[in-house]
Amino acid sequence: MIQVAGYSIIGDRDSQQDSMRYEQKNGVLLASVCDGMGGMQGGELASRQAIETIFREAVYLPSERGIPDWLRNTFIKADADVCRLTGPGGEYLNCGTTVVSAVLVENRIYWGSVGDSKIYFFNKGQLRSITRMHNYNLKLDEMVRNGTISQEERIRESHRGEALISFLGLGELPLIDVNTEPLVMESGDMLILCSDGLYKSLDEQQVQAIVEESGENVQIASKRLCEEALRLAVSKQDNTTVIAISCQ
Amino acid sequence: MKKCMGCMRDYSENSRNCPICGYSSAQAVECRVNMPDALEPETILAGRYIIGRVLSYSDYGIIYIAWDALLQKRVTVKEYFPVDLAERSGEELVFQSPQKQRMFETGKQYFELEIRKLNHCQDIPGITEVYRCIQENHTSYLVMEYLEGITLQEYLELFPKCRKSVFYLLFPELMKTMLELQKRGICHGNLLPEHIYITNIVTEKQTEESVRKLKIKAIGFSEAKSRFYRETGEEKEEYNSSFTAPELLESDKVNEQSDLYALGCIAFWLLTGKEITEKEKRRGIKLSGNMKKYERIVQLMVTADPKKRPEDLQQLKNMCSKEEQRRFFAGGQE
Repeated sequence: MIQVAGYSIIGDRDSQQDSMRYEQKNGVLLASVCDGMGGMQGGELASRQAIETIFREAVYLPSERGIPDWLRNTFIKADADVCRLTGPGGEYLNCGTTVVSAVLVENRIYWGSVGDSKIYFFNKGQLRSITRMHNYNLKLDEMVRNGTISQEERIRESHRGEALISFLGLGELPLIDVNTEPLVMESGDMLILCSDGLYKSLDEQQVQAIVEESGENVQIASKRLCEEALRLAVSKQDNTTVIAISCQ
Repeated sequence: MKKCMGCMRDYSENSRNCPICGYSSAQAVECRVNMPDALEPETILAGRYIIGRVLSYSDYGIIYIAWDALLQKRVTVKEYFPVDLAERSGEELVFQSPQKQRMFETGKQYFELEIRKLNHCQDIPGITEVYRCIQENHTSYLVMEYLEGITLQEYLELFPKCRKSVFYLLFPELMKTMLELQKRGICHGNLLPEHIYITNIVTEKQTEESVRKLKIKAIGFSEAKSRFYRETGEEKEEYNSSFTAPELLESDKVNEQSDLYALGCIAFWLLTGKEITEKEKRRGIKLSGNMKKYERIVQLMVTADPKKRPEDLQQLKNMCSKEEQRRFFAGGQE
């Protein structure tokens, strides 16, 4: 039996620009977390639009084999919808949002990611991050690997490293990550979808400890992760949103 | 800066005693004399928890304040340690006989089972958060939430005028917690005002409004302990007879009915300011004036004969009228 719960906090920000949603239907679970960015409520509108698009497209969820392509195409549609967002005066909002989504068919997990929100998988007693950050650091590391820049140049550029290079609302998506082979969830495992507010305050060891101590309860896990992120924040805490999914 | 082993707060290395709680190394030495089996302050457990001073101890175990170095917060650590069965000798345990060693292991299993049960009840608001069980030093430890507050007993000694507000506003929360625990097969075993904790006390002066913001938590679960005493024939649990069901005093058998009885005694104590007397136990209780409306249900709860008492809180709830259900399970201003 799949169990799912979500929790969200505004942190020390003036507005909540994260959005989340999850739905279970006919043995299939769809869950998404989006972290919006952009002034004048743009971020909030962007993340909400992305969620709306994803769950609108959910009616077209295909059989299992087609899920990775569905995720990819849905993100492309969401990108276009976010680009089209306008303000009260008709001007384009130029806002954006990250997205992490998971589709569970029984205990098999298909996931997709654009941006720097994260998915953690707690499996067989170990927690690991299964997504990569679509930010400039990724590009810099690739450039070092293929010899385009030196390590010294890499270090010089690192202050720009967290700038996103792929997100919904960009107009085209240079990077979309999906898995084609499903992860298999076993009893005692947990999948965590989260915005960056979580991992900017808690390291992986801390996230693992909180998940382990939640008694396999997704309500407890999602709530405690957000609360501990707020408590342990070194500087002002960002919006933080967590969806926890378990299999029992 | 150094960390005080008394309160786990940081203070200047230049200070001899902790300026916040007054704890000093002299107190640590005194503790070693009185409780030679207790872990020394600054002992590290599971590579993560720094053990501090002893908060309390009994024949069954020792409770310490500790610092969770990973999550940077205070916790409470309860150590299973029946002192009549074992002694600590360096890193080893010494048992007085093979039989005592077997009893020790049996009790440890019950202790761990209770932890696992409570760990799966974290969604129930009225119990202390239970984080994990650790096996180390040949025994078991429970790591749980550190509660900032005082017992219900202490609270009403400080704020006696809040007695009725506590009954209207907080007692139903306790009833709901115990009802939910019973549905999951968990009994407390020794419910007393000293085993009920009040937290979130933010003002020095308590009003009805501040009582409304308090949180009530059940602590000191004893089912495992009672089972251990019963099955090993060891020294029986020390019960407060004013709050303990007669059958529990005789046979040490913890069950839903004994918890129901204890809750009834606590209700009576909150309503009247007095503990139930032996005479009232035999002849029935009498509540007067405004409290009369609670009499029927409280009497059901404290019926001496378990055959005539409801079997558990769910059955009690089913026997309540709608108004009685609101009073005892929902609460609010009367």
